[in-house]
Amino acid sequence: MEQAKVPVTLITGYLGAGKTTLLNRILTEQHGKKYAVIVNEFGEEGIDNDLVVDADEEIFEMNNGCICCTVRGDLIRIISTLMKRADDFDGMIIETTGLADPAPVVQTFFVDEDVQAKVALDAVVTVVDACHFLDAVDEEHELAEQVAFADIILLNKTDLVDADKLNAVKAKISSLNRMAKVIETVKSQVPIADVLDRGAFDLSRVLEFEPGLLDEEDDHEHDENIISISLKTDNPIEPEKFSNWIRGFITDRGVDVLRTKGILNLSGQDNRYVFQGVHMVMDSAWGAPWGGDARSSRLVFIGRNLDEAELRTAFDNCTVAA
Amino acid sequence: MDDILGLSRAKPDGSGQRIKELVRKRFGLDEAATLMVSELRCHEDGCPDVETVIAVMGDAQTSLTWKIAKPMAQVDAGDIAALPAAAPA
Repeated sequence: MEQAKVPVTLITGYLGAGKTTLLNRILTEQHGKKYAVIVNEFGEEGIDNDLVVDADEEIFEMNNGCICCTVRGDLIRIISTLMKRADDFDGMIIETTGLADPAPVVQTFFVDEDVQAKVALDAVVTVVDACHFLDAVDEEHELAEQVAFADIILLNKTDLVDADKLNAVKAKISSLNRMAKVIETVKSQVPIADVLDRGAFDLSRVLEFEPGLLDEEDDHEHDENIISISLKTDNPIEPEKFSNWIRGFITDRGVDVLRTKGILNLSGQDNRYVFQGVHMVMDSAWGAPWGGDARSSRLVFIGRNLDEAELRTAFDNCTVAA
Repeated sequence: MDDILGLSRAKPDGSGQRIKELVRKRFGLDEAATLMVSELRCHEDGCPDVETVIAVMGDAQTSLTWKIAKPMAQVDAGDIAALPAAAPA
């Protein structure tokens, strides 16, 4: 029987957003579980845990300069060491620095067979400071990327802003990432079940986790560098057309595409086809049968400098009717 | 069911562990040394379609990396024996 993988939760967020507060809240909850905690810097707020490992944010380029081939060398070493004492804990939590690029951290979990066999990235949780987000997001690209990579966004410090500002922050977050579940919080107080054991990278759970993926399309104003694009069609997808298009697109634009998720109604197939990607690393699986459900196909791209009209046309061209 | 779109990652087949054991033997590395083996399909200009990257993960100054221009499953003892002791960065 396949051994259960140790779940890893990645907590990102800009300086002062409330990451350590969230971490301590998770650690002090009476859940009966033990966590290994990996931090990149010890802040003013201490961490209430027996097993805390200091990481040094070492970027490791497998292929000179290509972001798709970049991982965190320090994490590979730490995870390999921790897994030799895996009986001592139930999961791992990584708290990045406020300035960390999430892409190398996420890709660390998809490059090495041993890492993939022993641990599984459960979700990227990004803590956003509702007070300062709008002032900082256009200037600090790390902040936009942390939101873009998130599966769960804790919109924190909501008690410090009025309704208009809160709505503006939510609109901006939605433009950057339509896939993430947004939870409004004060002092990072959130039910632990909303941030742990989410299975956000588990293809068998895509349907239960994708609020943006299941929404109807809407008309955002997209003028940002990073944008989130949602596409939908009720016409069945022709597998060969779609395969040729998506593989070519990711080959050409994988550096700019941060995350991708899709649920497809493939022509002649009884089951849903689900897939997701981080840059050029893609994975797919067959999902539940459509049964009597209304069939449709949905795609979400989060990335830089994406042309929504071009993507929509290309997607529509993959249908049987095209 | 088959992956008819070709988007699934290759499932681990033990090649990574096999290559790591060959590298440990070739360079006399013990279990304390962290190795990473990955198959890259990089599409940057000048890169081969597929290559196996092998790294001994020391700190930033001491990490060693080798690349072999073939898939992990095809990397054999001869490839590892041919690796130079001082790996190119």
